[in-house]
Amino acid sequence: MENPSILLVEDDPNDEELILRTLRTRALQDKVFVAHNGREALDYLFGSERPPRLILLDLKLPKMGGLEVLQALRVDNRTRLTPVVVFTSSVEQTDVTTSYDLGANSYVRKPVDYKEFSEALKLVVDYWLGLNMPSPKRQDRH
Amino acid sequence: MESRIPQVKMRYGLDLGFGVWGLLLMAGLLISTVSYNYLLFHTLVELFAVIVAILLAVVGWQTYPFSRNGFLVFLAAGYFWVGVMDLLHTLSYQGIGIIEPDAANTSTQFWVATRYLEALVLLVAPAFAVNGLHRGLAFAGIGTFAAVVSVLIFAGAFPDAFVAGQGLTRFKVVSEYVIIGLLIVALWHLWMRGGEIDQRVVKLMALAISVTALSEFLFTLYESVYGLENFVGHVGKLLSYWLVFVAIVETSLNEPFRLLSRGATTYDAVPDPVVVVDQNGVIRQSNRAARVQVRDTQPVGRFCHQLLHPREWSEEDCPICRCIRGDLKELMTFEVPFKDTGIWHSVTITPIEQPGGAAQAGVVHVSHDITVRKQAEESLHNKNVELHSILQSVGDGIFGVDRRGRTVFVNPALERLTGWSAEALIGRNAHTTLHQPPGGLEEHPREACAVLLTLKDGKVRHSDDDLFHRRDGAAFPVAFTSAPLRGDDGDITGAVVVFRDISERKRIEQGRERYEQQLESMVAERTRELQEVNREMETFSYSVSHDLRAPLRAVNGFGQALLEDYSGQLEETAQDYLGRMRAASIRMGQMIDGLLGLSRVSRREIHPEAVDVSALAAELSDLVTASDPGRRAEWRIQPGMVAHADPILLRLLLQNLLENAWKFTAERDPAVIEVGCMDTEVGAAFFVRDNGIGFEQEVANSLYQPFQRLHRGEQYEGSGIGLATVQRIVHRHFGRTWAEGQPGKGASFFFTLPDGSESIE
Repeated sequence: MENPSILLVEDDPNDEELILRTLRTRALQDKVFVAHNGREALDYLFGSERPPRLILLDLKLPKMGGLEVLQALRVDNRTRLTPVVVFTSSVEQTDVTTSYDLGANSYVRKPVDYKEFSEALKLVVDYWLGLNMPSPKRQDRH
Repeated sequence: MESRIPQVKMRYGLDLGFGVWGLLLMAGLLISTVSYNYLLFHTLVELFAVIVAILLAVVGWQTYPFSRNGFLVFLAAGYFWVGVMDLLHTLSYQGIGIIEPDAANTSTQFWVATRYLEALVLLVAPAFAVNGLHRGLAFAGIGTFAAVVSVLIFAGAFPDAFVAGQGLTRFKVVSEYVIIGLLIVALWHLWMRGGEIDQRVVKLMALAISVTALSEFLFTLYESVYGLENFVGHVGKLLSYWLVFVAIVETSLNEPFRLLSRGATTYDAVPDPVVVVDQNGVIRQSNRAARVQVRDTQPVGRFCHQLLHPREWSEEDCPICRCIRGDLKELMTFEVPFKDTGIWHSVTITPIEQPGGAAQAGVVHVSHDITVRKQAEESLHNKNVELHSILQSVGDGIFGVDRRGRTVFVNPALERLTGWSAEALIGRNAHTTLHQPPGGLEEHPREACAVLLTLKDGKVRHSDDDLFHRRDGAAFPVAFTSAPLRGDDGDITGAVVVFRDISERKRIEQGRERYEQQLESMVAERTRELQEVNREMETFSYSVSHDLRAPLRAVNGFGQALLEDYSGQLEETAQDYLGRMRAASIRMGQMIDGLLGLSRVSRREIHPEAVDVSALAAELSDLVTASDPGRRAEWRIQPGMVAHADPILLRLLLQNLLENAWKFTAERDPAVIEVGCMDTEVGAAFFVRDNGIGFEQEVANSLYQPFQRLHRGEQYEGSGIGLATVQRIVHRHFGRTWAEGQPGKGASFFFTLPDGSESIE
């Protein structure tokens, strides 16, 4: 049996590397699949036997935006319940609202400070993977 | 009958009395001659009778042009010939010796013929009382009769009246009775015509006829021409002639004079000054009013110009006097002003005609005071002039119509506006000319025409949206009012219409509509552009937040990774450099975040409401204090402050100011931060005051510029966008911001917000 997987949808290679670096620090067994645009993400999702445990979704993506991906995967039975963490640079309130409306489970803003960045990522990943409970106070930060 | 004579005598006692007494004296004289010589008596008495007959003939004849009394002139003509034949009778009398041999017969024949003539004249005369007659013809006719009879007598063809030895013939006696009969018929005739003749004359004539008849009766009795009866009969005859004479004089002379004197009284009763002026301008007669007018008891003999004409006119130039002196043919009237008294006279001069068309004898000059009329005329004239000048000068077109809608007057403004001249328009139907000419642009049915309706019901009507037509057919928009004209009895006599060309107004209205439409489309266009810009801004912000922050994150992240993973291989300086890179990237991230916040502030729609500023400040002060609980701080927040603003932006505004104050009081122990509201030159202003490091007043204005940092970044962290955001928020609320500070002593940041009474956007 394959390791459970995490889907990272991220077009920026720097962010991809930094996110993977942070995830490595959590010593997860999951295989991390990286899609560099929305189309690729959906191809992966609908092409694999099992849906990933967690989806980390950037919003600004080439070919197909993150919100479209979110919308598409939420209407498919295989991925309908998969936790999606929108992890993005956008601070637009509309993006936050739309993301939650479309069924995102968390919305986390990517800070410039890498310490904050990795801290926030760790928290949501740990939470949605059920690794430990995040403190409520930290969850407010976005 | 006889009772009337004393009355006549009493009323005109002197004249008639003299005649009566003269007659009686003469009768007495004659009687005295009878005893002496009957022939003398007869001759005298007959001569007297002839004289009376001729006299009455002359009087009756001459006064005929004035009396126009046919009855009297016929008597006059008749008695003339009666007198002539009486003369022949006298001259042929027995004993005179002029006519021989049969003097007694001839004389008596003349007597009988004369009596016939007299009786016939008396019988016929009343017929001419009103019918009038040609007096010459009457005179000639009677004369012919007398001449024929006389010729017959002289020729011996006349029946014998007296035969010597036998006395009076049967013819003579019968003739006397026939004559008496004729006289009775004459009396009856006179009586029948009595209504056509003056009553006094009727009575005198009746008396004269009666006396004649009586005399005739006496003459039937005498046997001697020298008998008593003969004597009395002659006296009676004289008396009857006298009575006829009196009747003629009474009618032809006395009555006219009486009328004249009555006229004089009437003349005095006329209230207007009346004078008779001769051709030289001298007053010859005046009535009482004239005497009162000139304050002179006797203006007669003075020049009328001096008394009755304006003093400022010289007599030579006086138009009235020139007419008086000239050959005035017709009545003339002058209206004469007296400048010194302000009185107006109407002077009428009428030429006095001379009978027979002789040269003008003068004029009757009547003055009548017309001052009241003149004043009324003048005031009416002034009023008319006033109305006329209003009509002439008013800028609106005005026209009047009569009851049937025909134009009766127009003013010059109408002529100018419609191109119709007054002469051409007056008399035309206004509706079919101005309102609805054939081929006119718009339908104005008669039933809906405001002017015609006003004529019908008398109501004032206004119309703001109507068309009138010019003479050339062009239509122009008008606003008009039609009002009824009423006569004295309140009936509608017409209507007056005042109109104004509103082309200009319509043009302006249309222009305004076009402009408004343009403006609307411009606004819509701008709004679209603005929305477009907003969308672009959103896209831009999105890009900035995403694309600018991602590389910074990479710089920071990989720098961190380098430090964590390779710290053993890096020298301390290299590590320091890496740390600086990280700090700089964070700093830049914060600046980008600030810019994004500022753009959000600019784009946000404002929804103002009442906000409890004191409560908000208290809540924010807690949050700010919580960020560094170790610091001692004193917050002084004025209670009861309220603002009318967008709550979210106001929160952001206050948060920025409080964080700013908190940041620059970091070295104060305790930090004192005050939030309040005070009156300033520009109205009530909120302020946040601190006891921090302050600033130089010269730089106060530049504080609000983005990224304008007065202090080294290392010392006071911040985005550099806080005060810019504050100013942006205040400006979006149409308020003002300013700052006061002193280095080392603190700073005050002021802002105004509209109170509840002013609305925003």
